[in-house]
Amino acid sequence: MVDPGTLGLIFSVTALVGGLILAVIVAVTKRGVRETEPYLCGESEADFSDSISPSATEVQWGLEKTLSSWVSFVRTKIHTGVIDDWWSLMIAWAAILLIVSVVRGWVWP
Amino acid sequence: MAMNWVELLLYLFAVAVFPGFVFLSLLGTFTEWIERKVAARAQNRMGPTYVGPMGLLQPIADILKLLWAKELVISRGFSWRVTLFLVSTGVMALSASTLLMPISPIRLSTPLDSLVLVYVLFYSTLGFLAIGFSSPSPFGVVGSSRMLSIVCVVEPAAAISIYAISAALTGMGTASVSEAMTAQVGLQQSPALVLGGVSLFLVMMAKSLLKPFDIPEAETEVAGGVVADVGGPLLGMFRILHDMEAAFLALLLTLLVLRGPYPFSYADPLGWVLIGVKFVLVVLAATTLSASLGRLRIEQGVALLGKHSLLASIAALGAAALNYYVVA
Repeated sequence: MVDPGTLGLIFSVTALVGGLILAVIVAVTKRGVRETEPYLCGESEADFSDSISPSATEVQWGLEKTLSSWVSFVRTKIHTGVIDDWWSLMIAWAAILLIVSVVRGWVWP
Repeated sequence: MAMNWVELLLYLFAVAVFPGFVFLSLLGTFTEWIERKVAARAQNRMGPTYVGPMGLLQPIADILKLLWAKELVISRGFSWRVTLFLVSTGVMALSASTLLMPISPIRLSTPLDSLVLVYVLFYSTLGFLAIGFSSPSPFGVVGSSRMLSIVCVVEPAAAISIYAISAALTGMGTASVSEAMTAQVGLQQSPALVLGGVSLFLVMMAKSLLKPFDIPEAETEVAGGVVADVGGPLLGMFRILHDMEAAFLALLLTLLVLRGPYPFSYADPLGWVLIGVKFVLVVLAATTLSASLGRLRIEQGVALLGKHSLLASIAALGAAALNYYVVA
């Protein structure tokens, strides 16, 4: 019987060390490396990795587009960019936490 | 915990051979064979026939061919060594997680190991994401971006449903997935088991990139997919990870939700036959569903998973909590 922390550690070490060994085996047994210049659909594209490759911003855009209803809710109700809105949210949240902690202490002292 | 060297050897055997890497990867190729056969029959094709009896060894041949091919390395902006390491880490994380299952010769079981399982399963997701994001090709990045959107819904659903089922069977504070696989199930625990099972089934389909949730992989028809510009050994490792993930989740569903050898026991050979039958049934159900459905667009997929998988997992957690705090 181990505790969950140790079990997580055992599994992580197994995954990382085993992964390293497996990666080295795969890298050694492969037939070699053929190096090419960057290409796009088989056409050579001199600098596409600098210019039109999606950056982190585009990835975020993709996520925002996919989760648009949730993101728009967050933007219009929570993170509006107005500091007063943020304050009222945080104070309301702190009030909820306070009530929960008081009730918790009350019910199970 | 002090391990003596016999235990250590047994642990290494379990991780590397049974039920770890060797067994799980063979089970994964078998899963892929079923998937390809079912999809082929649905489309009036033969499917794999050439290698082995009924083409059973075709997925293994495909993967070996890729592993022994030349690696195509793009000269700039392609961190293929790191990606290979991350994908291999995912593979070994799945191999290690099988030690929570009762089929393993050495079982590591602890309270709250359901949360450890959820944590370890994320390594394989990280491997999937790394392949697209490490590629200098915009198509790979788009694929991983889609995968990330799916992950935002699927990972919470997987975490909640695995915890909820474990909690329903072993108690909210214990929530041991390992104990839950051999626990007795009463009628009052079945709502959480059924709801969690439905959620976990959809999670399995989404995580193994089966249709209708295969848009992150998106083969030739859609521009952009995690492996759009990957070939050779890296693609081979991706295939291994992909197959192992599908096999692992189907096995988890078999042992946790369909109760493994029930009504027999793990000591009974008939129980092991029944585990095999149930596993094939789970894979057949998933692949038949996959072969008869069209691909969803990414936001449709996310909405469907959120509506059915995530809500079902939350309902399962509610049912588990209700049973634990009110009924029991």
